[in-house]
Amino acid sequence: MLLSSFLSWWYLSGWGWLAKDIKNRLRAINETFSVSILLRTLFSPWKQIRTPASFHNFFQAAIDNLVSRFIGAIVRIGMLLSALVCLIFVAGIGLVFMIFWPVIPLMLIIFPILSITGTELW
Amino acid sequence: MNTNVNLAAARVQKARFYSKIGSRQVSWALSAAGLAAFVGGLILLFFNSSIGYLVLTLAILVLMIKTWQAGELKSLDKEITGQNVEDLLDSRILAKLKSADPSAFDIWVATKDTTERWFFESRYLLHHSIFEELLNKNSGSATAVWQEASKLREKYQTTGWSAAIIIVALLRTIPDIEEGLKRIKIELRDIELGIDWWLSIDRKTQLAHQKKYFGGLARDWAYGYTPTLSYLGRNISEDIQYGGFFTDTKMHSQLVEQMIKSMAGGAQAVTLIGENGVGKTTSVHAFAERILQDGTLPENIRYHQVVTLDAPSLVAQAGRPGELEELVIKMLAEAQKAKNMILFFDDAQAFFGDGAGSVDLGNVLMPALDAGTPKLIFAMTPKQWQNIAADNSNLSSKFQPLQVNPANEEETLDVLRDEILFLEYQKKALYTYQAFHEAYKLAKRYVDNLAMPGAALTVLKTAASSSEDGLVTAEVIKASVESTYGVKLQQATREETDVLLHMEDELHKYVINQKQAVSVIANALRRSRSGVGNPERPVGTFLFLGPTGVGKTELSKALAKVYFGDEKSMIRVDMNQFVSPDDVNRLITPMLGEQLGFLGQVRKQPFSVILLDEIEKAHKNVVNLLLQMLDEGVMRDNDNKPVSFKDSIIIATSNAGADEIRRMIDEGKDIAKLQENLVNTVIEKGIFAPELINRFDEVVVFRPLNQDELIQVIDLIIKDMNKTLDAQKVRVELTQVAKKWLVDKGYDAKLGARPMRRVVQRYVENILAKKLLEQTAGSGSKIELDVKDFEEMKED
Repeated sequence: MLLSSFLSWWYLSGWGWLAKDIKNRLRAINETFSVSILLRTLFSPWKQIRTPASFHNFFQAAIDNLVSRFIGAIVRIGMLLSALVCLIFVAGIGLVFMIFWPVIPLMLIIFPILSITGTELW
Repeated sequence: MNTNVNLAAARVQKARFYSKIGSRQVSWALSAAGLAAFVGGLILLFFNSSIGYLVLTLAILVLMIKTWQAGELKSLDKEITGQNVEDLLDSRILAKLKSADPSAFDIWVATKDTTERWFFESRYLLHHSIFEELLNKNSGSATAVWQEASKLREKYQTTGWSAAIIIVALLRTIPDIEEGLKRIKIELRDIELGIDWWLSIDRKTQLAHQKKYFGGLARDWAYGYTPTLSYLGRNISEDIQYGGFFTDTKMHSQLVEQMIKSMAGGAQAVTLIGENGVGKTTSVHAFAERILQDGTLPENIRYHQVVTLDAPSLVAQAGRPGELEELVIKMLAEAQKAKNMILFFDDAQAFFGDGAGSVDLGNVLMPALDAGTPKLIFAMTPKQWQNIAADNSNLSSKFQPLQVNPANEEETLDVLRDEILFLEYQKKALYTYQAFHEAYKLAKRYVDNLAMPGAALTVLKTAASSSEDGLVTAEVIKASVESTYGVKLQQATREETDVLLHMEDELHKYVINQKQAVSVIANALRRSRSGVGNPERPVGTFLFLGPTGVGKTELSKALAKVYFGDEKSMIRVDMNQFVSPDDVNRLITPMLGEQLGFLGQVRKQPFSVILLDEIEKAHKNVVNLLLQMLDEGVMRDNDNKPVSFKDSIIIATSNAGADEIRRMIDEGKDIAKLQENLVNTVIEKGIFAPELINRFDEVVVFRPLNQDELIQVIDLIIKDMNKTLDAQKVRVELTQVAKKWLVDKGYDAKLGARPMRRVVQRYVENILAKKLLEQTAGSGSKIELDVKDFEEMKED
């Protein structure tokens, strides 16, 4: 009874649960690295460091502000790349789990057989 | 619905399995075993040992169990699929049920290890013996429990039959349970509220364990630095982010919604207007939490930081005149530039020339308000708001006012239930449900400087220190309020009971005759302390009518001494000082310069005798003010704050009708008849309005003292004198003739016994003083005085 309950969960709603779990983990990375904020403010001045422009310092202010935006963009792109690495890593592992999900319970039968017969899987 | 439990159902099997692997210890052990098996299996395979596969099988088994646990078993109570008992019942109870047709008692046995059982036991002092002794032990009795659980589920809209629901359902099946609950001073409907309370705690616990997102690592990279603001202000948002989960209640959430709507809609400055204690600061914390967590809010407030500015600490930072203004300008500029700051001015009146350092930052704030940035929140009382609106309408027009009203009983209890976990953590105490109710009731009556729910929370906080074992019950709350406010709330002790039962004898030690007056006062006190009297009115209100010197004031003093501790417990107001309409204000002003006014004294000492001397002389407007005090036990001060008289005995005295009393006594009229006639006379003559007379519990006529009674007065005075002489071990006694002589000398039809003390002083004390100085009387001597001593004295 318990085994059939387990198997029906594993092969029916369990798979969906796994997909949701992976989605939540990806969302957590997205939130932790502030991906949407970074994309929206990619070229914003770094920490609002800006030189107010006037007639006398127009070019100086333009250069200062460009530098501030450039530094901001560099730091943000660095952060976005880190987020991307994490996203790829978690998505990759998630994908492997999704693919091997139906096989995992079978391993409970296959592995003992391999052990008894002494067969090498690779 | 099938009332039998299908123990073979899948949910029952899952519940039983989860109960075995769900505990923290087993879970840790499984994880450790799985990890060890995984690492061990790989190592073995690395060394070409085929046993590695077998070991890896163990790791995979653990992985599958843990995955199933996280994916389904943990949520057995969240997803209900059927309507049978085994589908609805809390999985922890289901796992422990042994019979398909259990008794109510069997259900209790299966329930008693749940957290909810401890919750009800500790919060409501609901001892387990109630269940063990009173629940039906016959099989089949579960049907009634399931029926009650169904009703409760529908009422509280819960997913299934939680353990809290089952506990209440079990109680509801006990015949005459209400009678049993009376012992712990609680009703079944109070316990029912525990279902909601537990659900709220459960939700909070889940929320506290949930991963929360506050915008992530790069949230503030596009916003500016705020060094001065960070140094001088307190960042509430940071406190919430790093300090943990903050509470939110229904009461606050409504206001928070309003604040969000206003600020997101473009309002730059919001002012929260409410009395101290209504939860203005808490609401701002709840607002800060909401805008930090809700990623769906408009961008102009989402992830913004709320920083509190505290006037006293800012004033302390400013070393020289004008520096404070400079600091505020600097902080406003930083907030303006940073673009994600919301400044919160708590106790805002302090910034507008009404508080610490007497600064007026109105002019400093105006440019920021004109510029429309940064966003500002102010908190102040209605009176302070009125002052600002009157003094600087230009400034106040820039603020969007939001009213924060005091909580009603339901809202207050809701807030208390929400806050209690934090309070318990801080105070290392456990509060019972009964304590909440008592705190609300007593706070409403005695805490007049704070509104609800702040007042009730203050009572709960203070009570924690009165508890010896950390359990704060209704009795602990009463004891704490008793010691803080000097009132009597707990059941009378044996000593106090003795005093109450023999009150008349005690009072007669100080007052001669006037049996009726003594009796009505003693009865009023007994009614009040036994709980028979109306707690919403003063303990007693009496009008004493009679000539001067018959003991009206003496009785009030004696009462203060005998029952209220000492004579200082009497608050005396000479009503002849309130003869003009302008005197009304003086009566209702709690502080008269440096001194406490009448209401200030009552507020400080609510448990007292209040003597309104010569009430007939007070102005009509003053008397009108007293009507509410006599009727409802409440008078409002000049700030419209109530002052309670519900623990006081109010005695008004008057000489009105004194001649009438003498005439009637001379005519030999009966005292009861005399009283009736006198009341009619004083009303007819317009001395007292009928509405005033009707508001007294009793009107008591004091009749003039006769010669025998005056001799007793002499005895009292001599007794007092001997007390003073005790230190010198000298004792004075008068012969009976001497007493009569003194009465003849001292008696005055108009002044009653009042001149008696003066006569005793003139004759007895003077003779005594001479004898002591001449050393004709010394330590240990007894001096007996007779008429001849007085006559000699007179000749001298």
